[in-house]
Amino acid sequence: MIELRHLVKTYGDVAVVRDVSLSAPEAAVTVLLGPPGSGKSTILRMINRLIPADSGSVWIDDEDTAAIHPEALRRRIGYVIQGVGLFPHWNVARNIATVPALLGWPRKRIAARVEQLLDMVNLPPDRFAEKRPSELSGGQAQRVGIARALAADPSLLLMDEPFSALDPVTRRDLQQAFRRIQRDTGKTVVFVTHDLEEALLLGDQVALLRDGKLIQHGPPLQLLEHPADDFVADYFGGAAAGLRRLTLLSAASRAVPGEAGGARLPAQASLHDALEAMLSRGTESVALEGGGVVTLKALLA
Amino acid sequence: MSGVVASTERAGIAKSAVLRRLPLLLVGAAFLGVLLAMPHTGPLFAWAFPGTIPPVYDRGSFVALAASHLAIVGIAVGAATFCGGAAAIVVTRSWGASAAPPVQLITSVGQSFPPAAVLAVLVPMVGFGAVPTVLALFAYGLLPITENMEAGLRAVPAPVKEAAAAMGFSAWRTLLLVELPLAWPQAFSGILTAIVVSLGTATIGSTVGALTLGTPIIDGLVTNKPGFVLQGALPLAMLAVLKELAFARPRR
Repeated sequence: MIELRHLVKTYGDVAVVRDVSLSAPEAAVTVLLGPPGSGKSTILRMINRLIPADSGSVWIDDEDTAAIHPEALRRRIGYVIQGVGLFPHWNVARNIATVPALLGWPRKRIAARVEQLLDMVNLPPDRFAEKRPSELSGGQAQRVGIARALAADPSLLLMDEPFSALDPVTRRDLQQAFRRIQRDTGKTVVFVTHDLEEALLLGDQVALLRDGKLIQHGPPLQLLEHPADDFVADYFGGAAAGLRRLTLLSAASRAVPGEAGGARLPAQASLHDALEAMLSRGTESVALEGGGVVTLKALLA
Repeated sequence: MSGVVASTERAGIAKSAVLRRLPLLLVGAAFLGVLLAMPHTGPLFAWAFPGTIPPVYDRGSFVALAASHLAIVGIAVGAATFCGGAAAIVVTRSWGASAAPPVQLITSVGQSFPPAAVLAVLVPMVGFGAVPTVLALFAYGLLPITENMEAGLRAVPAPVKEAAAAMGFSAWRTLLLVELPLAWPQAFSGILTAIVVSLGTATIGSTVGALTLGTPIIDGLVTNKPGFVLQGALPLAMLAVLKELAFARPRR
């Protein structure tokens, strides 16, 4: 678990982070969401001490990070950024091996780990291990970036708009790949984005920031259903909030016994998926895999 | 399968590298041959320029002259690389940015005076010999080396440096493992510029007593022995060709 306590950062006269306290629960994705300049990236960089805090503290598993040597701290924390920042003069395998090599792992263990990670991010090792970063597409490079961040198996992962520069299709692929990896590995993640859809898709917790202040935080549904003020309500989509809400609710939660025609939706489908299916099929109910149907009436309830 | 393809490809590349280097190797061998053969060309020069005694420059072996020539260039460019490289590293650190204006001043002053003028100024201060030549070439080489090194370091992408720091690299490690390797191609082009200029310019060092391949030329001019001028000019011309072959960039 990560705890931010009263973090403050000021550049000259400009307060970019104002007294932010927040805890990011274990094995969950906490999204720092906010418009540009809201201080979210600065907060992220204060966690691994790339930026020193003016005051306040960051605690990781009840240990004050101020007491840890910054380089040792950073080797324990995975970090993924928008620009990826792969070392252009090293091949993919060596990029991924960066932190294990710093930690002095034996060569064989590093090689095995690199192969395992490439498999995890769906880049076949025999095709990608020897490639240079310049030979990769944006999406492939970011997959390598994620593998590199996970290399030494850190319990904590910091991600700063890692998918923002990618085209929509690639972005969706990577978001799903990331979510799968996060669930499989149980990493604690702090994820910065300005993209609401991404926050709703990936976040177990969302912390909405504005002008360096934490406005509201909690599970995405809570922010959507009970916005603390107009800013939160606006940010969460105003008129589109109803549709967004459906993406966060599982279809199974509204299922009732019964049968319906047409293909069954996957068990983990959202109500949004169910509505989409009804619209495209012109029906008022759809069946789910594993039994039950969702009706339009139940959906609207 | 792919391994086989890769290895034949690699062999092909190695072969073409040798082929590309062939002219350089041939001219290099010819250069050495001329240096070694020069003392034995007495009859030829005695026939071409009768009355000159001795017919061939003999106050030092041509191999020694060439070695001295290359050593002067090597020391000057080596020192300029060390100092210019260090200066470029300092001015690209966050704590060293204030050093940029004086560094720029020093390097541009070093290049704004022609080496011949620098030699004339230095001789009264440090005496005759190789020292003023080395200093003049050093001053001349500082600017291209420092500027290219600095440009190379500044061109390292910010996300790469940020990633290095975030993964727990110390500033030193980032410099050695990331910044310098990435800056190297650009830095190297600055060093090449300095070498190319210095190889030619070192010749005039002979006017103040440095032993270079220019020494027979100066000697021949002073004592009115055209044979000596030719004996110095021939290896120098070959050196110029060698330099071109070794350092010329492929034209796009």
